Parts: sequence; structure tokens; C-alpha cells
Amino acid sequence: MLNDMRMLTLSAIRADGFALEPFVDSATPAVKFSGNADSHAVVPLELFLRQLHENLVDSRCTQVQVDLLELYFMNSSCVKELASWIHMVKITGAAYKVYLHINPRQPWQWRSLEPLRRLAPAIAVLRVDGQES
Amino acid sequence: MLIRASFRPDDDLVTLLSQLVGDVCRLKLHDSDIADRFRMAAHELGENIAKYSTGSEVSLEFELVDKGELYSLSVRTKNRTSPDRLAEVGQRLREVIAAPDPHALYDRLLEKSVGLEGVSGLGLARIRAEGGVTFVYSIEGDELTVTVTAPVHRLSRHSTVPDQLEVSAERPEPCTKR
Repeated sequence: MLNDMRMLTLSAIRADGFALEPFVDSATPAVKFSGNADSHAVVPLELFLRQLHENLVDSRCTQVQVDLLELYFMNSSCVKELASWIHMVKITGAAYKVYLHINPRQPWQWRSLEPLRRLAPAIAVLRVDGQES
Repeated sequence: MLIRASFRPDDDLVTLLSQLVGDVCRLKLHDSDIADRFRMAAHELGENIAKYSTGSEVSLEFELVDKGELYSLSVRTKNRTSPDRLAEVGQRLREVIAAPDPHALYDRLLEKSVGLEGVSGLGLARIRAEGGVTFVYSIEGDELTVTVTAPVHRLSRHSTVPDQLEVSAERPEPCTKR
């Protein structure tokens, strides 16, 4: 079960046109990405995802919802950070799934995030308007 | 249409220029998908030249040529860089160009990159896999030129594309908010 108090240890990040916000007011942990994830976002993203992973493992969560609807661009270094997170979930045997909610009006998101699903199909799930891959 | 920029290596300028490439594609072609592919290509190539340049100036060009039924879109970057970097990027470019399955190559490189500190080394493979483009490159002395090109079909509902930048009622919202 999710321990919301644990989730509160995550702080929102705002870095030059990019924002990462954890949501703790629902039964399911959720994170919202927005803006442009370029070179300024790489280090904050890496640190955030590492902390998020620790929170989710400590809280014995079974899933995390990642809202990408207002993310407009992601460079390859940030894609690598997402891949590293999902790989870490895989190799540590953590018991949670990552649901990536993508915007159907932004086809780049499918192209850029589908490789993450291929990397760990049992962990990364792409969702578009309720559909799942 | 030709956009040419020469500038001191700077990630923020790369971000601005790649957004401009995307917005011009969106405005001229009314095609967000193509706009995002070329924005991504311009950004990845631009970050590479900014990161690895040994010179005081790099350049990025975007060209959109109307060929009747098709448009030809290209992004070209130039920078001066070290012999080690030239060898490394030359090898990666040969690998990316020769890959029979660009997605398989990208998947393999993505898996290799996980957990590595610093650079991803994924940009060129990502451009080939996600951009649907053709690569050409040349090395002259310490100068590297990389060009990515793709033919783009004209959308029938926009059979007449204005030569000048203008905003129409059908213009979609830019997806490049900062």
C-alpha cells in the first residue's frame, strides 16, 4: 500500500522551461512532466527519478502514473534517464509498474517512449486515452 | 526557405533554433508530426555540435525546398572538433547509416546507455530511428558536417503553401511552449 507521507519527501522541480511535479493527493502515486526536457533538465530528472524509485520501493507501491500530456519535447539524454529508471526497476526486482500517459496529439511521444516499453515490457506501459500498449 | 545560424556553442541557442525549425515546419507544412521530427533532429545535432566543438563558432542550417509534389527538408550542422571526437562520431555515423534496422540499433544503444553518467550517445541513432531521415556527413580537416534530409509529401488540404510566414486560422497551436 502507498504510504503518502513517504511520497511527500519528493519536491517539485522547475528548471528553465521544464517542470516535474509529484502528486500525493490520490491513492496512486503520480508524477507530472511539463514543458521542454532539454539539457537543463537532465541532472534534476536523474535525481528526481532516483528519489522517486526509493520512495516507491519503501512504500511498496505497485504502480506509478506518469503524466506526459503537457511535455512538448525530450532530448535523448532525458530519454536515457527515463530508460535508466525503468532499467533500475527491472534489475532490482521492484514490484511496481510505470504507466506512461502520452498525448495522442503529440506523436513524437509514442515514437520516443515506445523504446522504453520494449526495454522492459513487464514494467513500462504506454497509455493513450485509456488505451494501453 | 533557408534558416542559417552561426553562433558560439550554446545549449540555449540550440533549444531556440530547434524550436524555430519545428515552428516553421508546422507553419509551412501544417504537419505537427514532421515538425516534431525535424525539431528533434535539429536539437540532437545542435546539442552535439555545441557540446563537442573546439572552435568558437558552430553553424546550424535548416532548409525547406518546394519540389512540387514533395518538399525536401534538411538540417545541416557544422563544427570543428578534436581528432578523438571525429573518430568517435565518424564510427557512430557509419554504424547509424549502415544499420538495416534503425530501431533495433537504437534499442541496443539505449540499453547500453542506461546507468551511464553524462552523455547518452543516443542522438544520432535516435534521429535515424525516429526522424525517418537520410544521413550524409563529411569530415574535412577538423570540420565535421552532418546533414539529415527527408522528402515530405505535400498535404492535399494545403496544396498552396505561402512563401511568406503568416498565421492562418488553421494554424495549430505550437507544441513548443517554454
